[in-house]
Amino acid sequence: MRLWWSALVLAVLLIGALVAAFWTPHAIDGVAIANRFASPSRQFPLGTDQYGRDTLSMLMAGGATSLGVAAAATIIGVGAGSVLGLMGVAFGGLGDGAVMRISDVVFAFPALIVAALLATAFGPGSINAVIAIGIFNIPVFARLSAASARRYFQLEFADAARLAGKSEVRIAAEHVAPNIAPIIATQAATQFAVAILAEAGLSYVGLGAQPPQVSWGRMLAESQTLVPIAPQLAIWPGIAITISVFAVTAFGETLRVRLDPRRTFEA
Amino acid sequence: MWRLKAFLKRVGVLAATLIGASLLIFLAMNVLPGDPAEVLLGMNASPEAIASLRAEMGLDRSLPLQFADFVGRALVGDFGVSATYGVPVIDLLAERASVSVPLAVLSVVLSVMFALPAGLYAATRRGRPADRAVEIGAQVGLSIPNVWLGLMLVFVFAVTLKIAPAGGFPGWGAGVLPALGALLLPAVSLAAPQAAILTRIVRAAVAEAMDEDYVALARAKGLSHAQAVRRHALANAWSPIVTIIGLQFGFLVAGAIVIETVFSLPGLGRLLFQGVAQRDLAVVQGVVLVLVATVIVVNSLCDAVADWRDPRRRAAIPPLASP
Amino acid sequence: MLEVEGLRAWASGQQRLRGVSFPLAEYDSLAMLGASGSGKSLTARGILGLPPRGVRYDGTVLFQGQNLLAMPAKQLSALHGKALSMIFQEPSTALNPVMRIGDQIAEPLTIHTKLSNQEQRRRVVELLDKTGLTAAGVGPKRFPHELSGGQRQRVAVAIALALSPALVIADEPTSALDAVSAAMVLDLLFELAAEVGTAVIIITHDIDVARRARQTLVLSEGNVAELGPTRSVLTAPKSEPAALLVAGAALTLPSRERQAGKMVLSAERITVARGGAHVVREASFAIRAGERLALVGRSGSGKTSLSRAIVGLLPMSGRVTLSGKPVVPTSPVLRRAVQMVFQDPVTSFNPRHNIGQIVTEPLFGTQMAKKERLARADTLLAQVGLPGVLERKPHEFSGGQRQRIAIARALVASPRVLIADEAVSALDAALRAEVIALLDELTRVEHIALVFIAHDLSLVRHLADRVLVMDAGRIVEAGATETVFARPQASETKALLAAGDRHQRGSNGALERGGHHYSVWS
Repeated sequence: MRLWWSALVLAVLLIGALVAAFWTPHAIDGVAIANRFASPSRQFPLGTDQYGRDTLSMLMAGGATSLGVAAAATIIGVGAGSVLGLMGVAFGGLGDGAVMRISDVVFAFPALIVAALLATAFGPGSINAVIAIGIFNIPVFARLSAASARRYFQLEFADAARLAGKSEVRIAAEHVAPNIAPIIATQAATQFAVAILAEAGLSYVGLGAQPPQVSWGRMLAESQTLVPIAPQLAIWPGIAITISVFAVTAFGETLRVRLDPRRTFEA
Repeated sequence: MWRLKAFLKRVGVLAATLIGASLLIFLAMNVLPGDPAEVLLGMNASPEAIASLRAEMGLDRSLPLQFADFVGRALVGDFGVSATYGVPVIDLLAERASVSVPLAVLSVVLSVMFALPAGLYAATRRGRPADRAVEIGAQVGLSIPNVWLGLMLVFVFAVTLKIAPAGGFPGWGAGVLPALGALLLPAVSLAAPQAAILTRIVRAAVAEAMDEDYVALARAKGLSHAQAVRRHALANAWSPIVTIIGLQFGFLVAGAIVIETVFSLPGLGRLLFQGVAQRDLAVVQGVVLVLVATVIVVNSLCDAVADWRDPRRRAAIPPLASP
Repeated sequence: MLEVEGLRAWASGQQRLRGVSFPLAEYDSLAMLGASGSGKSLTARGILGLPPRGVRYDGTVLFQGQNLLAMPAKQLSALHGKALSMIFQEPSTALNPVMRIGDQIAEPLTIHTKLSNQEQRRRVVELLDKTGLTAAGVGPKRFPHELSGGQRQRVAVAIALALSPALVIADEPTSALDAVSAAMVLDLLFELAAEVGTAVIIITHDIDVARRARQTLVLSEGNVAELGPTRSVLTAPKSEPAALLVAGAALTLPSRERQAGKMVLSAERITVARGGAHVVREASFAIRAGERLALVGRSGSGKTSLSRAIVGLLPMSGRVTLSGKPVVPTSPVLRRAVQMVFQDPVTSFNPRHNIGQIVTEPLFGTQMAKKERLARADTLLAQVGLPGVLERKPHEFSGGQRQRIAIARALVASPRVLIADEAVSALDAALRAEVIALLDELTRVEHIALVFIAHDLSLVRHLADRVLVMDAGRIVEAGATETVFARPQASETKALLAAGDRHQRGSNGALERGGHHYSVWS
C-alpha cells in the first residue's frame, strides 16, 4: 500500500521534472509584468509570481534542478562511498582503519560548508551543490557499507568461500555486496531525501543554483520578501519539497522493511 | 588501567581527526584559484608589492611549513585579519558566536524535550493508532525544509499575528528576554526536523530494547510495564540516542547557517556568507575551521557519553572471568 | 499448586497452542520437552501471564487457586518475582547490559520486600555466595558482559530464586552453554530449588536435561503428546512425538572395523594468537584416511581456533602436512583437500545464492566447465538425499537439510579430510541422527577422514575412533575413545566426563530431590 502510493508520487515528481527539462506549460525566462501576481486560473493553474511567470512551470523547472542535483549527489555518494567502505573491510586492518578515519574527517564537513569553500574558489552554482552534497554523502555510505559488510565477512559462508580459494575482493563482490545492497538502497533513499533538503538550503542561501536557473530553494529565497503580500509564492515550493521528501522517505522505509535481510534469514 | 588507555585512545583519535580536518581546510584554501596577496591588493597591484606581501604573509614558504604555522596560530586563536572588516577574525568569531551558540543549544534542548516523551510514548504503544500518529507526524516533520518552516512561522507569528519579530537580533545588551525572543522562532524552525529524526530514533531504540529478554525478565521480577520500560528499556536506549544526537550535530550546524539567513541573525552563518561574497579568505577559513572543529568535538563528546552509558562499549579490553 | 487447562495461543492469526493442560504439585519438577516450534516457550510465557508481543492467550492458568490469565496487571506484578519467576534462554540477552549484576539481583527484593538497602546488599552477597559466583571471583559490581555464559545463567538463577518462589520456569537455560557449564547451572538450579522448596518447570529439547525432572511433558505442534513420570516417558514412550525424540537421541551406528588407512593430515606445534593471547598453544595431531577424530573441551578451550587455523582461516604458526608433504595453510591444494561443515545451518550459506552456486563453490579455480560442476553438485546432493534442488534457495530447506547441503558442498571437490565444527548441535534430535548417519557413511564408504568438534559426549563415544581433549589452548589428553572414557588421565577430561555423567544420571536422582528438602550446603 505505502509502496504503491510513495512510488506513484515519486514517479509523478520525476516525470514532471524530466518533462520540464524540455517543455513547460509557459515560458519561464521572460518577464510579463502584465500577468504578475495572477490568481489561479485555467491559464495559470497555480497563479503567477512577481514577474508574471507561471508558478506551475516554475515548480516543474525547479523540480528538474532540485531533484537532478539531489539524484546526482546521491549517486556520487553511493558509488564512491559503498565501494570505499566495502574495499576497506575487504583489505582489512590498515585499509579499513584508513577508510574509517578519513570518513570521520570528511563527515565533519556539512555540505553547506563544503559548498561555501567551493563557492569561494569557483563561484556558486548547481555543479558545486552536487559536489558538496556528494562529498558529504561519501562517508555516510562508506561507514554504512563497512559496518554492514564487516558482519558478512565474518559469517560462515564467507569462510566457505575462503576454503574454495576465493580472494577477499572476490568474496566482497560475490558474497558481501549482494547482501548489503538492500541496506545501501534503503539508505540511498534517505540520503536522496536529505539531498533534496540540502539543495533547497544551498540554493536558498545562494550557494546553489544561480539565476536564470530555477530551483525550489531559489523560489523560496525570491519569495521571502513577498511573504506579506503573496504568501502563496512561498507556500508552493515548500509543499513541493515536503511532498518529495515525504514520498522518498516513505519509499525508502518500505524498501527497508521489504529488503530486510533478517526476513530472508527467518524464512 | 584499560580505562586510561581507552581515554588516551579517544583523545588521540580526536586530535588526529581535528588535524585531518584542518589539513583539508588548509589545502582547500591553498588550491583556490587566485593568490591571497593578489586578492588583498586588488587587480592593479604591482608584482613587487604582491611579492613583498606574500613574504609578509609567509606564502613563500613550503606548504608543510605553512600548514604547521596555520595549525599553531589556530591553536592560540589567531585566524588572521579580515580583509573586509580590518579586525582580527577571532574577534568577529567571538561576537557572532554569541548568537549562534545559544541558537544551537536552544534548538537541541527543544528537540530533545519534544523527542524523548514522543518517542517513548510511541514505543510503548507500538502498532496502535497513537504510534502511527507519532510516526506520521515525525515523517512530516523531517520532510519540511526548515527554511520554509521559518518563512511560514514568520508569516504566521510576525506578519499575521504580530506577536514575534520577523527577524534581526537586538543583542544581549538589550536584555535576555528580547534576545531569547528573537531566537525562539529560529530555534523552533531549526529544532523541528531534528526533533522528528530524534523521535524516530528514541522510538526505535526503546522498542528494540523492549523486545530483549531482560525487559521480559524485569516483568517476571514484578515490575509493571511502565517501570520495566523506564528502568530497563530506556536505560539501554540512551547510548544509541546520544550517538545520534552527536551525528546530527553537523546537520544542525548547516541548518543554523541557513536559518540565520532566514531571520537575518548576525551569527556565524551570516559571517560565512559575507566572507564568501567578499572573498574574505581569512573569515571563510576561520568560520569553517571553528564550525568543523565544533562538529568533531561534539561528535566525540557524544560518543564518549554513549560509551559511558553502555559498559560494553566502555570496556575496550573486557576482563573476562573464567567459567 | 499449578493447574493449566486448555491453554491456547494465537500469534499473527495462527493458532500455536491447541489446548495445553497439565497439573503441577508443590516442590515438583516437570520437564517440557519438544522439538523447536512445538510451543514450549509460548506455554511458559502463558503460565507466567506475560504474553510476548502479538500473542493472544485463551484458557486458564490456575496458580495457587487464581487464574493468572484473568488477573489484573497490578495483581500479577505482585506475584511475579515473588511467587512465580522465570529464567530465560539466552544468557547474552537475559540480563540488562547496562546494569550491575548486584542491582539486577536486588531488584526483586526492592520490589517485593521492605528490606533496607544494607539488608538488600547483604542478601545479594548471600545469593552470590550460594550460586558459587563469589567463589569464581564475581562480585555485585560486575556488568553482565564481564561474565561467562554459565556465570550469567547463575546470576539468572539467583534472581529467580531470590525470594524463594513457589514456581520457577526455566526456558532452555543451558542450551547456549557448553556441557560443563550446563551441568553446573542445572545442578545449581535443582539443588537451590529443592532447598527453598520451589517447583521447577524446565523447558528443553534435550532429553538428558529432561532426565533431571520428575515428570516429563512432551509437546508437539501445540498439543500435549504425552505426560508422565520422566523415566517411563523416556524409556517407554507411548506417543509418536515422544518416541521420535527418544529415538533421535539414541544413536545406533553400524559396527565397523577400526580404520588404519594412510596418514592424510598432520598438524605440528600449531599456535594461534588472537588479541594478544594464545588461544592455541603448540597443538599437534594427525589423522588417517577413514579415521574419526573428536575434538572435545569446554567453550573457549581452543577447539574451533585449532580447526580453523589448520585450514588457513586464522593466522597461525606451526606446520601442516598433507599426505606427508608440507603445505601452506592458505594454499588452494590444502583448502580443497580439507573442507569444513560449519555449526550454524543459517549463516553457512549466502541467502542470496541458489543451491547450485553454493555447492559448486569449492570447485572455483578448477578447470571444470560450469555444466560439469553443476552435474557434480547434483550427484553429491543426490548422495545426501536431496536430488534436483540446484535452483532453489537455502531458506527453502530445514536445518537438517541445510546441514546435508553443507556436507555436499564440502564433498564436491573430493576432499580427503572433513572438519565438522558442532555440525549437529543446532539440530533437533531426529535431524541430528540423520546427519550423523551420513557422516558415518562417508568415513566408512568413502574413507574420508573426519575431524569433529562436539560438546555432546555420547555422540563422541559413538562416533569417534580417537579423542583429543583441549583445555586453555593445549591438547591435554589424546587417545582411543574407549581408553579415554574408561581411564581419563587429565583433570580436564575427568571434569568433562563428570559433567556428562550428571547429565545421564536419570530420573531416580531427581525423584529423590523432588519431594525432599535437603541442602547441599547444610
